[in-house]
Amino acid sequence: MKILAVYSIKGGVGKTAAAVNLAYCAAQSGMKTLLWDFDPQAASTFYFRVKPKLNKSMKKAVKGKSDLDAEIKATDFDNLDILPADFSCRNMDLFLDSADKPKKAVRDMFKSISGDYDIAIADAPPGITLLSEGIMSAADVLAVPLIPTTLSLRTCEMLLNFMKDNKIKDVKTALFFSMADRRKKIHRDVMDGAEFEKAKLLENYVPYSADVEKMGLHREPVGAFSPKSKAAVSYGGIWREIVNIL
Amino acid sequence: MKKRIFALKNFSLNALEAFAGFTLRQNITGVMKKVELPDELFPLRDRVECLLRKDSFSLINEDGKTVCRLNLTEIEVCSAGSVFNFSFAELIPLKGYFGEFCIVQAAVEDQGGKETKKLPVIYSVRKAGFRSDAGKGTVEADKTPDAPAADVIRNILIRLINIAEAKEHGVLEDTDPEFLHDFRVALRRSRSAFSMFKGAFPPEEHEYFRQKLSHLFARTSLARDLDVYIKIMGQYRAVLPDSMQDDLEPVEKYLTAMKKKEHEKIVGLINSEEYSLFKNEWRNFLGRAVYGEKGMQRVRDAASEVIKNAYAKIVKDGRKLDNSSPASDIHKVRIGCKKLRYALEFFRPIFPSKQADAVTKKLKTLQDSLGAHQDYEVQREKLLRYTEEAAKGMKDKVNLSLASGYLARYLDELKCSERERCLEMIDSFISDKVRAQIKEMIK
Ligand SMILES: Nc1ncnc2c1ncn2[C@@H]1O[C@H](COP(=O)(O)OP(=O)(O)OP(=O)(O)O)[C@@H](O)[C@H]1O
Ligand SMILES: [Mg+2]
Repeated sequence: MKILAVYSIKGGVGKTAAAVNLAYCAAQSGMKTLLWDFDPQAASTFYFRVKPKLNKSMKKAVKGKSDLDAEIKATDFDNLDILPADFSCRNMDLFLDSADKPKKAVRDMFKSISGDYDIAIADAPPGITLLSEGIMSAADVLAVPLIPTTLSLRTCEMLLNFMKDNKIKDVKTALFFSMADRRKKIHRDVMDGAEFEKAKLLENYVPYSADVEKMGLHREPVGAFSPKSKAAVSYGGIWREIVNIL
Repeated sequence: MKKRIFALKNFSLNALEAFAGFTLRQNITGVMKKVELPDELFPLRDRVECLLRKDSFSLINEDGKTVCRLNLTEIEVCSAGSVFNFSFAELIPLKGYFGEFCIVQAAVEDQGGKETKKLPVIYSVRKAGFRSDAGKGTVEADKTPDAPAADVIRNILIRLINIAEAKEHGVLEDTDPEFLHDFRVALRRSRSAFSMFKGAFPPEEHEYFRQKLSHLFARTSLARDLDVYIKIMGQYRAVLPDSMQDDLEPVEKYLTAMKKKEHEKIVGLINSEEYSLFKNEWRNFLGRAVYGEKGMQRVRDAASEVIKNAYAKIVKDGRKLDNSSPASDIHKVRIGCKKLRYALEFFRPIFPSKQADAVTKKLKTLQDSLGAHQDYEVQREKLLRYTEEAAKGMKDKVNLSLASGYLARYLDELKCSERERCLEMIDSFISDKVRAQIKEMIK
């Protein structure tokens, strides 16, 4: 099972939108896909009309004592299941802190998912936390959405340095622009001038799009209710680039 | 979790929604289309036509989330102007929504839905009253007690050769040993039905075809034996002590290699001109209205005689048995039982079903026990023979012969305990009670 983590230090940059839509693309391509919602706000879970899970199981899960398979729900789409978030996710760092080896604990949680899935896609909460560190070290590919602003670029550099300092190197990092509006000069400038040494910048980007905002109304991935929209097409392009480096 | 299929009567989608508390959404609306009958109904294809329509639904909860999928299948079975209608609900569970699945299932059952493990098409064709000989492997005479015996037997024999033929492709592919088994059973039944009614056909032709059938049957015997034995080897492993687990491997390898060779022979046989010539001759013969001296006898009388004689033979052989009788004597009773069983099966519709079924039931349990007894005997003997064959050319034969010796003793014990049971059951089968039942049946 490959692991794709969608993550950024900054909040509100389109991580959840990307995780949900990439999971949909993966499933459509025929891969057996598990979307794992780590965010206590349970936004991914909401987008698939699934209720947040009732048992607050994360404390046990960190200790390897919870049957995560039993928490998994089928979504309404073929090949796509979700491991819903619950409120206990907000205390993940507390639980991880009391574990001997927090990073290993996160890796083991992924391993405890039975072998049926071709790929697990993690929707991680923002911020630099033990959880995000664990997810980064477990992942095969780390997908990082970037809003095309100078400030975002600086935060991104911070992340790349953090990974280097903490010797998180078995993961390929794929950056892509998110909520990009090429009518804005600043977005154009940043997108056209951006260069990264330590990470790959994907060619496809997610445009700023009303369709993505409407996901909250439809409670479905964009591809399900507007498959020809620019946003759906761009997630498809990003997915294909990611498959190539998985 | 697997999907489940329910046969329905007067089913209402509204009632389902109300009971389950979920909303139905239709995803696909189907159209009535002709469907091919599945393999096991293949022989019915000229008589029966099946139309099918499938609609797909989702059951949706208050969040708009699908919690269970439902396919409704409508089937029309048509034959000679009559139409029979059936409908089915197929419930497909979704991971993580088991509770919801149970509620929907309860709602379907509340409306009288009955779970079935059969495919809807098969279920419908059966319920509509159509039977295909090939599926069961057995053939029954039509309910015509006054028809000439030769005609009825001919009809049975034609259907049996059709069954054998329908199994040919499976025998060639050899994906499942059951094909060869069914093929052989059809041949054995043919031989048995044919031999039982010796007088119904002209003697020369009877002798000619009887030999041909026996010969054909014999040429497939070794392959069948090997199939059985290969399967049994797995069970032997379980019986052997841990330390001996792998010691019979040379025998397994030997058997598999032999089976391959035998299978090739059978492929050659089925593809041979000789075999297709035989089938032609046989069908030609069965298509001609020729009668031996007893051919015009009423089938009911002829069948009664056959059954009476078959039973008398069992009684005669059975009475001779005691605790010291050799296995071959018990085997004689077994052969007699097989004949009686086939006769009872062929002519079941001709006789009152109450007595016929009672006798058949008793006979069946006796046959099971006889079969087990004979199997242990034969297995033991063959184990020793195959071991000897497999050991040829092996340097270190000690472990192999230890393991096979161990098993031989084990089989011996099983045989002895089965033997007692066998003798008791034979005793009870040749009792006055069964004799009276048979008498009542054929009177
Ligand atoms: N490409 C886009 N165009 C327009 N709106 C977007 C786009 N991507 C995301 N949004 C909107 O921006 C908001 C934040 O997006 P999202 O939840 O995906 O970000 P996030 O990084 O997961 O946030 P958080 O850090 O809170 O988890 C949402 O309201 C979403 O609808
Ligand atoms: Mg989010």
